[in-house]
Parts: sequence; C-alpha cells; structure tokens
Amino acid sequence: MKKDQDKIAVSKLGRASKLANTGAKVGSNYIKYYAKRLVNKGSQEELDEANAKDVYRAFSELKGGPLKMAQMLSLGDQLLPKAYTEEFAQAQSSVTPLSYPLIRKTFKKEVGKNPDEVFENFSTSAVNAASIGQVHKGSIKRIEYAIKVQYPGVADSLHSDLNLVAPVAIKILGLKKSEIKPYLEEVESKLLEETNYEMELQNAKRIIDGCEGLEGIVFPKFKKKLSGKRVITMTWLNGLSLADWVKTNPSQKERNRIGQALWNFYQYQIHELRFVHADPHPGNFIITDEGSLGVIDFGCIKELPLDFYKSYIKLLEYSREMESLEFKETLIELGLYDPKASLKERELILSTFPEMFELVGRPLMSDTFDFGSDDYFKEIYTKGEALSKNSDIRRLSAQGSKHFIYFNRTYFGLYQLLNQLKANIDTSKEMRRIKLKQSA
Amino acid sequence: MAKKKKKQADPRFELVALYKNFVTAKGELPQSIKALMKYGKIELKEFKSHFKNLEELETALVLWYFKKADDLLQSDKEAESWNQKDRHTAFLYLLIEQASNDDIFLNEFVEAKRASPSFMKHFIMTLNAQHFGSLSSSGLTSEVFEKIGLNPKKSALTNHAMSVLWFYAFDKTTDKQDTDAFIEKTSDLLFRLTDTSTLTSIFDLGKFMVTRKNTAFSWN
Repeated sequence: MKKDQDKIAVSKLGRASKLANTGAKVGSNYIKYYAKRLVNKGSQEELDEANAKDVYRAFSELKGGPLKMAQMLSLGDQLLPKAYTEEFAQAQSSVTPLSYPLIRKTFKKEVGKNPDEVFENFSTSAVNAASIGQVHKGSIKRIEYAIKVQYPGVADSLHSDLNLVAPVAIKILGLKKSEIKPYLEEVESKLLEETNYEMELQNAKRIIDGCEGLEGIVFPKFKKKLSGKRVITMTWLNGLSLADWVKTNPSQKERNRIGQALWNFYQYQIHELRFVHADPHPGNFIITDEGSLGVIDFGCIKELPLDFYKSYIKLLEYSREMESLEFKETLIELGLYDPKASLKERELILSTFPEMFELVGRPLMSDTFDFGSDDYFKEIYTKGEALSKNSDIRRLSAQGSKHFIYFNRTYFGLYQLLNQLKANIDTSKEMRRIKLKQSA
Repeated sequence: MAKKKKKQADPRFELVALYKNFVTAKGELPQSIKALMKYGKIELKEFKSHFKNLEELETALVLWYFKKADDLLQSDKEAESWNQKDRHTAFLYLLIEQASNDDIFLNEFVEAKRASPSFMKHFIMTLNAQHFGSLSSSGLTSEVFEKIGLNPKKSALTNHAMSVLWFYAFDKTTDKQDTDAFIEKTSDLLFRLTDTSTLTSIFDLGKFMVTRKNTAFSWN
C-alpha cells in the first residue's frame, strides 16, 4: 500500500493547500534545476522526475478526480514527458483503506443487509483499491465474489477537484489550457459516469453480451441483487493482474496469446459494438489461473458515434493515399483540418499529420506487429514531444473531434499494455475487417 | 392469562420530543421553559420535576443519541471482535444514524448551540462523566492514565463524536457522504495522534526503575 494514498483530503481548502504546497515544491525543484544547470549538472529529465514525484504525491492524496487524472495522463505518453508518465503510472494500482464499519454501512444501505448476513466469508480489510473505490472479497457456497465499494463523496467533489487541478496541471505540467481542457472535460464526464455503479452494471452487461463467444476472454458474472449505486458485486476471477503476470516471466508464446486476445477484444468492440472499454490499464485485466484474459472493470466506456466511426474507417482506407482529396475530406470531417485556416496552418497540418498518422497507425497497417519493440514507443514519444514543443502546432485552430480523446486514449492504453506484454501479434484481421465493413 | 402491564413511557422522552417539535415547527430554540410549556400546554412543575433547566433537557437530548448508539454497538455481535478504532468509527456511524431521524431539528439546534459556550462546556462535562462502552479505551495506556485521574484519549473520543454530530448537521452533500469522509479522515488522525505506545513505554521504564531501586544512575 502506498502511504501517500492512505489519506483523503476532504475540504476544498485542504485540497487547495495541498496543491499550493505542491506548487511550492515544484518551484523549488526548478530552482534546484537552474542552480545545477549553472554548473552543468542538471538535466531536464531530472527536473521532470522531481516535479512528477511531487505532482503525483499531491494528486494521489486528493484521490477521486485528481487521482483519476493522474491515471489518465499516464496513458497519454504523447502528451507528457516520460518522467511524469512513469510516476503517474503508479496511480494505476493502489490500496486505500476505508474502515470496515463504513463498508458495512454502505453495503447495508445499498443491498439492505450487512455483508456478514449475505456472505459466508467477507474480508473486512480491502484486498485492492482504485481511484474511486475499494474491493473486498466474499464467498457464498464456495463461490468467491469481488465487492467494490465506492469512497464517500467522490461524485460531489469531482467538479471542484478538477477545477483545482486544472490550473496546477496547466502551470506545472507546462501545458496549454486548450490542450488540457478537453482532457478535463472528458475526465469529469467519464468520472461522473464511473461513480454510477448502476450504469457500470449496464455497461458490463452490454459488453459481456456483445463479446459472448470471443476466444480467450472471460468476464465476471455481475450480481445485480447485491449491487447498488455505490456497491457492485461480481464473481471473483482467480489469477494475476496483467502487470503481475508479466513479472512471472511467461513464454513469448503465452505473451503473444494473451496479447492477441486483448487486441481482438478491442477490435471487436470498436468495429462490431462501437461501444468500447476505454480504461485499458493493467489493473483492469486479470490473467486467470486457466490462462484466459479476464476483464474486471466496466466503469469507463466510450460509445463511438456512427459518423465518427465511419470517418475513422475512411481515414484508414485512404491512409495509403494521403495526397488524395478524399483523405483531406476525411480530415475535415474529423475536425483535424480547417479549410478556412491560413495557408501556413493548412500546410503545417498536411506536412505533419501523415507522419504522425503513419506512426500511430503502423500496427493497423501491418500484418503482424511486435509491440515489444521499445524503439517504436520511443519514436512515438520523441515525435510527440517535438510536436508538443512546436509553437506553430500549439496554435493550430483545428483541435480534432472530441471523440478522439477517449478513442486515442483507448488505443494508446492498448498499445502500452501490449508493450508491457512484449506481444508480437497478428494485426491483419483489423484491415480485413475494415475492408469488409467498406464493402458492406 | 395475566394481562401484560403496559410499559409507561418515560416522561422525559415526551419533554424531549416536545422540545424537538417546538424547534422544528418554529425554526428557533425556545427562549424559556415557559415558552416551551405554553407550546406543549404542559404545567411548569411537570418540567421542573424532570429537568432543572432547558440546558439540562438539551444535554439529555443529545446524550440520548450517544446512549442509543452505544447500546446498539454493545449488542452488535460482529463488532465484538473489532479493534478500538473500528469500534469507535462504528459508534460514530451509529450516532449519525440516530441523529438522521431529526435532521431538520438538528440543523436548527446545532446552529444555535455552537455559539453557546455554556452549553458546550456543560455538555462536554456531562459527556465525559458518562461511561460508553464503545468509547472506552482499553489496555495499559488507559489504566495508567485512569490511575492519575486523566484520560485524554477518552476526552478526545467524546469530543470527536461531538464534532461529527456538528459536521453532520451542516453537511449538504448527497446522502451526507462528506460526513462519512469526515469520520474516516478524523478517526484516522485521532488514532494516530493518540497512539500513546511511546508514552506507555516511558511509564513502564519509569515504573521498573522506581520499583527496582537500582542505584546505578544515582550520584548521591
């Protein structure tokens, strides 16, 4: 359990002072950095690392929205320096203890009975925790269950939390307001959805029913009668989290098999359901004792509107003809190209977009792809960082469809998971599926 | 079959209920016993036979929440195995559960009383004189302090319970969830602050040195 995550800052004042304190620390980090630089000893990486630690510490103490944002930013490799993403990635697995009396009270309020009246065994201590809830384990007739109980006040404090975080994130992380704003709005709306466990139950049903029969994937069974607004009960999947499983040093064949199942799961959701599990981080996946890929969290789901999806398909279709008029039209549809913008801006987009698109779309354009190649991710990071420092790019009027935010996040999260797995997988089905869609 | 004797309601409860009704209906605390008695159409001597003054009634009223919560926790089999922190936290949840039936009244009452040092002083003194099984601190530390007539931990626990009730009265969040967070956060802090294990070790060493009368460190 991480000590910094043991506390929940409640009052707005407390939260604000926490962030102000972080600002002061980050300020001193900069002083140290510039002092070191005077004697040629400080590096930008050292500064990023020191700042990331302090920002992460503050965010994790605030929990709820800020912690979730830390998690989300860690998935945005293209947006943040590497030190930040490494430090923020810690937010992806944590244990935060709420007292058992509160767990019992919340469970009784939502289910109508105390946990010990429902379960033959119930862990009074949390067995796992995330940004907005903690997980307990119970059993009935030898069937084990995971019972997720939400922290108090998460939904109510969400808006003010994010309002507090926004200026700090903008200043400390050196981002532009326009860059962070869509993230914050998306985090807020998605996090609000995540606080609604009844909605999570509906999302889970839709994905589980939709993905029925998909090879190598298993889902828990949700117990509606033992769930409510702030409690959700599902069967326990025995196994290791994806991150822990990787540490057991599985064979390349096993890595590829799990990676393929993960890839297929996402492609199926995108192309068949247009309803996507948009929180691909290691804590949400279990490699079961039977060797299947288990999906255990359905709080964050992105529904892809049909017009966005169609444009995305077109973008892939014309990706080999980036000079074509159709490609440009698709960019306009997706809000990535503004025909009314200045000639300089239009030229800038057309000169940078194909390169970035080729890079991030490379796995989709290949028959097989080795996600274990760190060179690929370094290339994304280097080019992403260069773009983020390009003041002309920062001033672009075309920001892209808002749906890209979660869509990209899903893809980058998926890529990172596959990189963690060091999986080499068959990605050719993706293009075949797209061609089928086009002919249909 | 003999008829069961109907249990007589405690007249003090009726007076407390009358007080609550008064505050809820009028949106203010009664300024005098006379005003309350007039509202309830009750004789003054009826009041005087149970309470000395309004403050005593008010103290009994809040104390009732504490006693009820304590009784509930004492009869909770599952809670028997809990540690002191969990028992204390559970007590606080039961306390606000009792108070939740009187939300409107409590808000008016707390609003008026928090600015009244005399009530607070009287109430805290009464509260500290009470024995609540759920709030008693067990173990060597407690015994050591009890012997010297001081139990700061007990005082801290009762004061903490009072602060929770106060916080609850002003909590406007959905399902009063901020009160839950307040309880969690403050309980954690309180038990960290009152962790007197170091102090216990000092007492233990002191007792050992005094009783053994070893002169190794004596320079006389």
